[in-house]
Amino acid sequence: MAFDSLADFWAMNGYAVYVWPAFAVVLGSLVAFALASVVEQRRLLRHVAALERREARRPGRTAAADEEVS
Amino acid sequence: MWPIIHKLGSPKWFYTMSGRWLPFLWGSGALLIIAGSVWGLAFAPPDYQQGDSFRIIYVHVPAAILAQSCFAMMAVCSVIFLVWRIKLADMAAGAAAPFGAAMTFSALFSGALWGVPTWGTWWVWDARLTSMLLMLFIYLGIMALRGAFASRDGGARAAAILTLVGVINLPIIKYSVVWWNTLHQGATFSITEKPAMPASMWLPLLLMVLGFYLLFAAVTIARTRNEIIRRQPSARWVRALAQGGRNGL
Repeated sequence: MAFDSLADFWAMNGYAVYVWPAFAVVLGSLVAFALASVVEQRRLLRHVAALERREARRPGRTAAADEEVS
Repeated sequence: MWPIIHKLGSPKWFYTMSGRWLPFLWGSGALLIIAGSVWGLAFAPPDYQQGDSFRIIYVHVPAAILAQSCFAMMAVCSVIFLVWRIKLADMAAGAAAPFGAAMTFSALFSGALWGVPTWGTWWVWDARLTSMLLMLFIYLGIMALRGAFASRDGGARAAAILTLVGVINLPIIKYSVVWWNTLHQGATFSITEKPAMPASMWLPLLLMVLGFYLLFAAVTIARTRNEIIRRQPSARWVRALAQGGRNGL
């Protein structure tokens, strides 16, 4: 390790207020994109499954299915 | 030739194939970034002038590289969409734009935090910083333009054209530190020259850059897949996917 103690590491030898927010924002945005894409996929597939069930109940009305999932 | 292009442009084929790569891309990208962060934050030696503030380089440089690579990828997709009318290319360009905007903002934000202790200011109107800020606005413009049209095809074409106009900014960003006398330093990595840092400093940076590229690929593919489902919820294979639950995930 490049630091003498764990306290020095957290303090970044005085540069903590610059280093940690930079890492938090950049890596945080990566995590946010990853999570959001997985959550959205689940939501979209659930929506498609609901469309399928609705049409199975009313076979005559399929026009609604041509609308896009928002 | 044409059958291959049609197969590559087929959303169903893309969805199935990319589902196999995706877990590998997520996993290896996350692994490289975790390893690079721990190495860069705790084990790389401090800079002899900047001390530990230089560690911001491990997020600043990858974010800046990805901001520009993402734009280049969107430009290639825009050409493919405008010339061959392959919709998948448009979906990929649309999926990548928010990520590129986020990386541009990340580079500007981490750069501002780095500027305070090293330059004594968080912002200067120097060529590198200004051209990056311009790219952020171009990203936001592309995203806004896409949604501003009543027809999706109109929005897609307008976004593609604005992307191709915005490409002119890429060489300006790259050579801004050469053409103008900037406060910003020159390139960290170069293909032709040895890095001006010891391996213990640039190796973790290399891991970060590779990890960012892998995550960019994973995020863009995942968002393109979502767009495919959003556009064709009635396709038989999409219905089967929703029924089967874990199919192709």
